Amino acid sequence: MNNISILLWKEWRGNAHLLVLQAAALLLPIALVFVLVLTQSESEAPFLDLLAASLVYGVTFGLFLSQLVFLCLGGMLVGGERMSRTFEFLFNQPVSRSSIAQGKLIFGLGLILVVWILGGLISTLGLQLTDPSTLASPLSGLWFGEVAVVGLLLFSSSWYVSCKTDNPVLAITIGALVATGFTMLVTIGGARLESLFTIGDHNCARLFLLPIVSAVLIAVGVRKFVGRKSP
Amino acid sequence: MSQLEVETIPLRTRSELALRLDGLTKRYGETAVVDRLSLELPKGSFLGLIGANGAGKSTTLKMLAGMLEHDGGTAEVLGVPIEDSKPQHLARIGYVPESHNLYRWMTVGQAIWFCKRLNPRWDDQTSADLLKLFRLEESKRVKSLSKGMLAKLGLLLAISHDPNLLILDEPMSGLDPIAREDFLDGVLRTVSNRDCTVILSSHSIEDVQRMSDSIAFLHEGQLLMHRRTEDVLANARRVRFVVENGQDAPELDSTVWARNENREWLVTVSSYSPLTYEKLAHSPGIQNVEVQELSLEEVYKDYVRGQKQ
Repeated sequence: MNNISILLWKEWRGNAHLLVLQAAALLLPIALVFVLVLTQSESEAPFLDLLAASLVYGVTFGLFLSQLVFLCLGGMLVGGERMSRTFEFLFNQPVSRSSIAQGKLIFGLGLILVVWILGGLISTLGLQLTDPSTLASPLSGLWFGEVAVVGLLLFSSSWYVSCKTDNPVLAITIGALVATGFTMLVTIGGARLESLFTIGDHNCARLFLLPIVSAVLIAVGVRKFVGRKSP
Repeated sequence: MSQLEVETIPLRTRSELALRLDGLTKRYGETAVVDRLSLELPKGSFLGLIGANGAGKSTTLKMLAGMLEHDGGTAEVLGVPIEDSKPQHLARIGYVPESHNLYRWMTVGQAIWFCKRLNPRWDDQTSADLLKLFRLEESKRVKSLSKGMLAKLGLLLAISHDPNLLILDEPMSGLDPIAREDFLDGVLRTVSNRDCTVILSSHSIEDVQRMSDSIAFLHEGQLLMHRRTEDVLANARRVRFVVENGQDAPELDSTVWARNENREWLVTVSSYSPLTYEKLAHSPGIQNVEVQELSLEEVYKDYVRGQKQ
């Protein structure tokens, strides 16, 4: 565990630019929507209502933008190090490849989790500031979960491709295609097996199946990463 | 010379060996970049590895450092087969590559802290001494270091855990003479009092000659020679002689390379003795026998020429 914490520190510090990008992806849309609402609003709506609308709609855009960051993160965690050849240094430290992979995954998945918890909290805060009946959150309920699992799938797909190709650009490009392909496949399959995945009036096929696909992609990527002896 | 000549230093028991390679092979596709390499290196010795670009030096060293898988043969590093190498085993090896691929965002202090936390054998005193010796500032970022300082930091990180085997893979490439001198001094000062085996791969034959107990020539993945440094220089000679018309040139023992222009022969031998001269001087039809001492660079070149022949 001690080694993992040091490796996590390295990921945290080494990916500072992605963290800044992530923070910007989440917070800038909120600020932007706030400015838009403030300048475009013709009614004499209370300030708190405007703020609530900014938080709820801004964070929605922010979470969609964050999907792109997750995609990049999955590709950069392995591909970035291969490209900068820092693996030559890291692999020479007395630490197992599986620990290195664990450090990277804990960092990546942890970041995704934190972003979604933050997004949920901001959205909830926005809804608390005003009468919920006046503001319909676009990411409420199961939709929120569905977008989250698509984010996870984007991360997993680019992670898998980067473990296989070593190239972050390919990982991001092909990862996006792989994630889109799986999402479409699961959506179509889910529609055909509607009775199996429907809860209430919502088809939850993506919610159930995409995390399984993500877990498989991550596991296969880890296996590839650990098994290959080459910096 | 049609047959590959490989000379080896005397065999030792396994427990005395830091390195034991037996037919080690690495292929990329159909091409063998390391071709049936066999070599033994006693503990505490200093091996200089000489070879042109593409000779297989870096690939060999990466396999020894556990960073590349081999395709054939066996290799034992510090008594452990390389395929069984575990992280604890890596803690006994220090590796400095040509491209010092440290994390550029780290400061010198952070790089030291990072390696220290990962390596249970880390010695704070050694690290502090080297920091002082190399005049490295802990607060400086890796990306702001010159190539020489980067090489020194790489060396500090590779030897502060008191490794039993230090692998230096052309670490001085591109360094100015002063930085190179500092680097080599650092290597000597830190490994001279330890039970540390060193392998130095370098294009600078002069540096290798100065540092090494034994020298190995690699060419196109094959080991041409592995011998004690002083033996190489003491025994290698180039013999020049003229053969009269109609006479065959005599075959000399331990011929490394031979060239014939008109009637004049140049023959490089790896184990010259006065008997060689006697044999030539008294051969019928042989005139103007001259024996010339060779520098290590000339010996290396002649081995490569001989291999090409």
